[in-house]
Amino acid sequence: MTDAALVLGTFGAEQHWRPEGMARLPGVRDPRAVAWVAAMDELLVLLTRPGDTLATRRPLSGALREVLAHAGITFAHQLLPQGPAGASAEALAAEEPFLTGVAAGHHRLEPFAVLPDTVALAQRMGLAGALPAADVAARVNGKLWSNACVRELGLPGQAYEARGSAEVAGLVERAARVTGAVLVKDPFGVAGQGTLEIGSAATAARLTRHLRRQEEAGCEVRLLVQPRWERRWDFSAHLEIARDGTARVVGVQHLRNQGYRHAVSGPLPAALAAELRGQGYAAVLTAVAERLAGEGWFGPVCVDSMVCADGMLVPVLEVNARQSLGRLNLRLNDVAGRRGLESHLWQEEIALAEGEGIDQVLAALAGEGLLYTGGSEPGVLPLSGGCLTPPRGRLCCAVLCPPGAFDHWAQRVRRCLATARSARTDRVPAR
Amino acid sequence: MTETENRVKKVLAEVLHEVVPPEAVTVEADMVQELGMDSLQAIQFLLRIEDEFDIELDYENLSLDHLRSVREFAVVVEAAGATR
Repeated sequence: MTDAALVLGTFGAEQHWRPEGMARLPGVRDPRAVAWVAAMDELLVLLTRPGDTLATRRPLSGALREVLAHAGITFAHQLLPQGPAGASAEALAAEEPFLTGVAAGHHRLEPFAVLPDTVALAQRMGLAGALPAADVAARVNGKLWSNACVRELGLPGQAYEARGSAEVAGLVERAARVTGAVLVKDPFGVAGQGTLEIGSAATAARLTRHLRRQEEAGCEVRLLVQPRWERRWDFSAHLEIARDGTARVVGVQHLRNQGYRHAVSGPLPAALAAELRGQGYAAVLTAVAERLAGEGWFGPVCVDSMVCADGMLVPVLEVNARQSLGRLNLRLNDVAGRRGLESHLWQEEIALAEGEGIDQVLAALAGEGLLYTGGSEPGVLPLSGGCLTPPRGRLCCAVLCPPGAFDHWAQRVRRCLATARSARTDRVPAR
Repeated sequence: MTETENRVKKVLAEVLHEVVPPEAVTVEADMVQELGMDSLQAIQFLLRIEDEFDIELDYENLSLDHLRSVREFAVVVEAAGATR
């Protein structure tokens, strides 16, 4: 056994913490997004250190590994056993012969989140007690816990908690009087899903009917309702809580979202840093960390926050006691900073021609001189190939560039990939 | 273009106005593959379609795969009880 870690994880962890029998908001299944979320485990390469093993659901491209190695990211890789759709990465890793043949050779387990399957895997690896309890993880990751924290600390931005469809209807009406538009949130909503914006009385009535039907079928309705504030800044603080309960702030990241979904994590703009000074943000983070430690949580924490258009600081929108994209970017930003660059973790949907995937994307970026190849030259570092499936894929990458240059680099990447796609489409003979 | 298609197209253009120019929203364009509609935009689109046509959609059995062109979706809308 070595000190090497087994790094693996299940994005979309919230669905594994969601209690049975809870009513859901109206939603539309997106089969592509399910596949992308599963393939995002490749991003955990940013948690690895030399000698660690990254285990993923899909094979890794050899070309991608080569690019990562040039950037100084080297690791061993293992493919997880295949399993049923919806199975966690940890459940797959607990299968034989993977468990005895691969997992057991590691002294540490570095997961994305602590699910019941993660705790079970740790026990089977002989690492019992290395992680917080799964019920603690489920409790503190629910938005009801975050909201209780906001209420008890007397912070701005508290949501109303609704039990039952009738209460939801009343609270939506009450919240609408504050700002007009209202957000209704599922306590275990997954990144971007599980939040519904209500902009009219007719939509509110439809939501109520949708929830009532589920109530009649025996489901429990528990939702959060809050006014939708105009945002000026979204950002997240990243903490690490030690076993003894002491906490340190690893960093704060600026967030850009598309809708309610993550688009870019990057360094804090100076204007936002200036706004946060003197607003007691650090003291709030300390208080949240104390509460988490009191619950029995230790490990990574991400606190989502925002500054509203009117300047009001909402320091705790949501607490995620797990790894996060911002936290992963902080790892890379440390390296980038030593080279005079800053790192932005960026996700964007892109069109792909038939037959295109990560290898073609890497070739296109290399052809334009846009790939990051290590050192102090700026560039783009793709981090996942599994999300790049035609006709539309999700580009997950880091942009390492001088301060203030992210938008310029993002445009260059968009142009490069669009040009490469056009050229490839033109080469496909007409049928 | 039928009246239903025209109304569906108008709702779609409103939902996608920040990411797609209105002229790109045609009755034939694929909402997901060509216009890039994601699940969040889709739910806003469907809720506004319910408001526009005063119908109830069956969310349990809807996926993004059911959202193709305005022309095809107009048929779903009419089947759900909308009048032309």
